[in-house]
This record gives sequence, C-alpha cells and structure tokens, in this order.
Amino acid sequence: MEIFGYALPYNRNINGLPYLSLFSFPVDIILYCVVAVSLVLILLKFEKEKIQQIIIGGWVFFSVLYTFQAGFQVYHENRLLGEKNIDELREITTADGFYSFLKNASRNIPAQEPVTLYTKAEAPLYRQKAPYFLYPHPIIDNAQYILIFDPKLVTINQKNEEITIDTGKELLTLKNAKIIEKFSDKRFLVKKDKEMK
Amino acid sequence: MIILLFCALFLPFLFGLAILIVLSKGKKIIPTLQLFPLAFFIGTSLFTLILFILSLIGVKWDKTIISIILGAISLIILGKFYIKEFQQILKKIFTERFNIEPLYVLLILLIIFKLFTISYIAVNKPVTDWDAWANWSLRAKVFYFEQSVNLDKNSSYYLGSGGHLDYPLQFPILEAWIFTVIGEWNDQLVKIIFPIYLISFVLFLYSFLSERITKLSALLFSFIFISLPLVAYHSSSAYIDLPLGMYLGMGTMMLLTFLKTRSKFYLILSALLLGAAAWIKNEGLLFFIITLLFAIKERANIIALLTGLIFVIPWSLFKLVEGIQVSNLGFGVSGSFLHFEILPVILKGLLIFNNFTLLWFAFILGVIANISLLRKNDFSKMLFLPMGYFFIFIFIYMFTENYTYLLNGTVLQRNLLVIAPTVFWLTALLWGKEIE
Repeated sequence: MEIFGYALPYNRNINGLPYLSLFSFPVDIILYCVVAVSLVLILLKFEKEKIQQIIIGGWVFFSVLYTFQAGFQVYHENRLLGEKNIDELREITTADGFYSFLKNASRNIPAQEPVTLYTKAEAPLYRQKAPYFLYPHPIIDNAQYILIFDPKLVTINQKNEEITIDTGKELLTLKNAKIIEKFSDKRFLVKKDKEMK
Repeated sequence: MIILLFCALFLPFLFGLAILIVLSKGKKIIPTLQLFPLAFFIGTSLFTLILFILSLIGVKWDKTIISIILGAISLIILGKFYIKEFQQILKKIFTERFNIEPLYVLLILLIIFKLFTISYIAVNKPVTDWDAWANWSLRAKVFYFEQSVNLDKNSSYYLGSGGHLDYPLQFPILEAWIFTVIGEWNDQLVKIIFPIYLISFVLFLYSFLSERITKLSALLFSFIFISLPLVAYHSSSAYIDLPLGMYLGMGTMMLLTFLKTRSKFYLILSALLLGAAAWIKNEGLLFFIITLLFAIKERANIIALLTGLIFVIPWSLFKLVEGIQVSNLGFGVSGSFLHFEILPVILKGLLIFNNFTLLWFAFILGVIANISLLRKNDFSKMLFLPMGYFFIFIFIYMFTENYTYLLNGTVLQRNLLVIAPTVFWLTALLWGKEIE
C-alpha cells in the first residue's frame, strides 16, 4: 500500500512537485485549514503565542510528514537504482536506450569528429540531450558521420547506398551512405561521402 | 574517490576560511557555525573565479599546482591567525559535556535523517534534469576535459556551449574542478555539492536564528527549512536556483547583522555573498544592485559594499569584451509589452502548498500579526528586500518574452525558490519573537 503519494520517483519535476497525499488523502487541505484558522485568530486579535503554536506546530507536523515521505522515497529509489553502476544509471534516466546508443555509436566515430543526428521531430529531448553525452563530438548539420535514432521511418537501399529518413517533419535521403553499425531497425551509425539531398 | 571528492571541496573551503580570517583581522567576530558555512560559500565563489581568471590568461588547471599554491597560502594564513582558536574548538568538541534536552535530540535526529535522505537521493543517480545537462553540467564536462574554460570562439564548445553562453560560470567550474581532482567525469558523485551547500546554509541559519530567537525555535525552523519540498528536491538536483537563493539568504542575513551592529565586517560579508550571486546566475546581478541601493539608503559604507564587485566585474567585463549578449530577454519581440496575463498565474502559484508548504502564508500572516509592532526599524526595512527581488521577476515577465515560460509553468516555482531562503529567515524572526 502506498502510504505517501509521490514517494515513487515519478511525476516529479524540477518546476514543481505534486501534492503529497497521506493514505490517498491530500494533505494540502489540512494546510489550508491551518492557514484559515490562523488568519481568523489574527483578525480576532488572539494572543500571538497561540497563533504561533498553530503555525509552527502545523508546519513542523508537515515537515515531519515530508521527512518520512523522503525516507520512503529513499527506500523506493534504492530498490530501483541501488546496485546499478553509473552507466546503467545514465541508461535508466535517459529514455529509450538513447544513452547506450550514443555511447556505443561514438566508439566508432573518430575523436573530435562532428556528427549529425536524425531522430523524431516530435521528440526534441533527444536532440537537446545528445551534446551532453556526445562530447567531444559536436552536433552539426551535414556531418560525415550520421546518427539515426528512431525516426518515424527509415528505408535502406543497400544497392544504391541510399538511406531515406522520415523524421515526421522532413524527408531526407542520404546518398553514398554506408552503414557502419546497425543497432536496430531504426538505429544506425552511418558514414556518407557526398552532400545529401 | 570519496576522499578525493572531500579534498576537492576542502581546498575552496580552506581558502575561504583564510580570506575570512584576513578580513576579520584574526579576531573572533562571528560564531564558528556561521564562519564555516561562510567560508564554504565565499571560498567556492572565489576559488572558481580564480580558475576562470587562470583560463583567461591561458593557464590550464593543474590540480597539483593549484592545490599546493592555494593550500599553502591558506594554511599559512590560518596558521598565523587561527591555530589557537582551532585547538580550542577541537578541545571543546571532544571534552565538553553536552547537556541536550530530549526534544533537541529528537529534532537533531530528524534533521540528520532528512539531510541523509536529501544526500542519498542526490547521489544515487546522475544528472537528469534539463537545464543541468543542457547547460550547467554540460559546461562542467567540457571544462573538465579541456582543463580550462574554452575561450575559442570558433570552437563548438566555446564557453562550454549549452543554451546560454551569457550564464555565469561558478557552478560549471566548481563541478569541473571536482572532476579534475577525482580524475573522471562522474556526474553522479558531483551532485553531492548541492546537499553540502544546503547543510552549510542550514548550519548558518540555525546559528543566525539562535542569536535572535530561542534555540528550540531556531532548531525547529532549521528543520522546517530543509523539509520544504522544493528545497529538498532541488538540493538533490544539479540546478542552480537553490544555491543562488542560499547566497541571497546568507547575504541578507549578514546585511541585517550589519544594520544592527554597524560593523563593516558584516557589510563586506554581505556584499561578497550578494556579489557572488552575480557569478552564479544572471539575475544575481539584479539582486546585488537592488541590495546595494538598499544598503546605500541605510548609510552603509560604499567602499565596503563595492567589495562585491570582485565577482561582478570579471564576468561582466568578459562578456562586454567578447560581445556576449544577455539571452532570454527579447523586449517586445512578439509586439506586445505588458503581459498582465501573468498575474493570475503568479497568484495561483503562491496559493499552492506542494512546493513550499506554509512559507508564503506564514510570511504574510506574520506581517499581519505583527503589523502594529512593525515600526521603522532595521528588521521591518528588510521585509522590502524579498519584495524587491520578487518584483524583479515580475518586471522581467511583464515586459519581456520570458512571460511564456511563466505561463507554461517552467519558471515561477524556481523563481520563488530563489527568494525562499530570504523570506524564510524573515518569517522565522516574525514568528520566533516579538518585533521590537
């Protein structure tokens, strides 16, 4: 049974956290009550000490709740991530095997060589995150080395050495493109010699 | 590797301590619980500034040489001024019997447990959040492998690349230094610096508050602060908003201490911390300017205030010379100037509890509860500072294209996180004692 809502490492992001719930009861309702009661007491000119006790008492109570929630979070995250090494952790925290794709592909790219990355147009995350893992290979347009990661469609014409990529936004054909490594049906490291159309 | 990590962070701390000892002329002016966090905060800022200047003059970062030179300077200074003090502190720690009430013990255990959970969550996974791998940590990686800040404008990795070349470099350089000392790019272990900043801040907060309210209240508020949900979450990420907020918080606390004591030492500390904010994020410069104007109005010594410029000038001058413009502004690009649609979004953002629990309410209620007592005194004047910081954000969103980020929910709570430490200590004092 999930005691604390959001104890699992999901649905949290850096811009804000979801409501904490205790046995599925949203605790923010209690916080609103604390605020409302305090405001009424202030307006009724009650002793400041009493109001202080309500505010600080309520605040400490929820701080203790959050502390125990953090304990559960440690437990869950340790179960999920505890024994993994750093590469496995990067793999887990990067969607869809993108990290291992980049890591394995970059082994066959000469040092400092720039690359071009083609992926799904509606998934800008890959394009944004690639530089972090690909350094020292800068990402440019029309590089000789091309990474293809899960575009909408990939068609390979081995006879003519042509690869057609549909990113969902544009259709590209790479001519004189040789597949250096195939990772899956839609994941390749390719090297081309001439300008692509 | 843990030992190397410790060494990587200990050197800036030691250097910061030496600088503070020089500034205080060897006199014991501030408690140790405030001195050590200050040494860490100011030390890491100064240290990264030195590494940046070394890059500007074309010197690669050699961990051995840098450690020997800065370590030696620090130890000589500390040895000269502080050795007896250290001996006394160590003697006190190991010989004094601490009579602590059970409630204090419980609170301390809760604090330790909470800090453990934050630290664990920080280091049990590598960098995962967008701005970290897109900007801060990416630049750290580049600087590590190049053993310097990349200053080649023709390089794809000029200034580390990333989304915003105009962003200051304290944290990318600090992370790169840690990689340099531990000898590898480890974006998991490096995240420990964020809980360490939090621990330092909380020690400082406790010490500052316990000078003004009861020790129990100070401990309670320290516990509450580290339990604020978004504070805890950001302490385990590699984002820079919370560290910026903590620098602001410490800087404003030192400013209040200056207003009460009129000691130039506290003013210099405040100026250094607030100036360092400009070396952390661009908006730090605006906060520094606002606080500078406030302090000048309070008849603070301008020369002392200008010590903060030691952090502002190098990066600002560099950007001017290199022609690097501030990104993310765009006044009136869309054709509209006044974006009133941000106001209900801001109001809604302040009314929710999931990120800061009672903080904003406690602050406002505290002001209301003490309204008859809030005369024109030093404390009540400080209340205008976080409002000033907040209005900077409102101004930016009202008049620039950044309003889109506010509307889509990507910035408001992080902006509030920047002013949260300052609002928090003010709230603690509002509720912790009678306002004189």
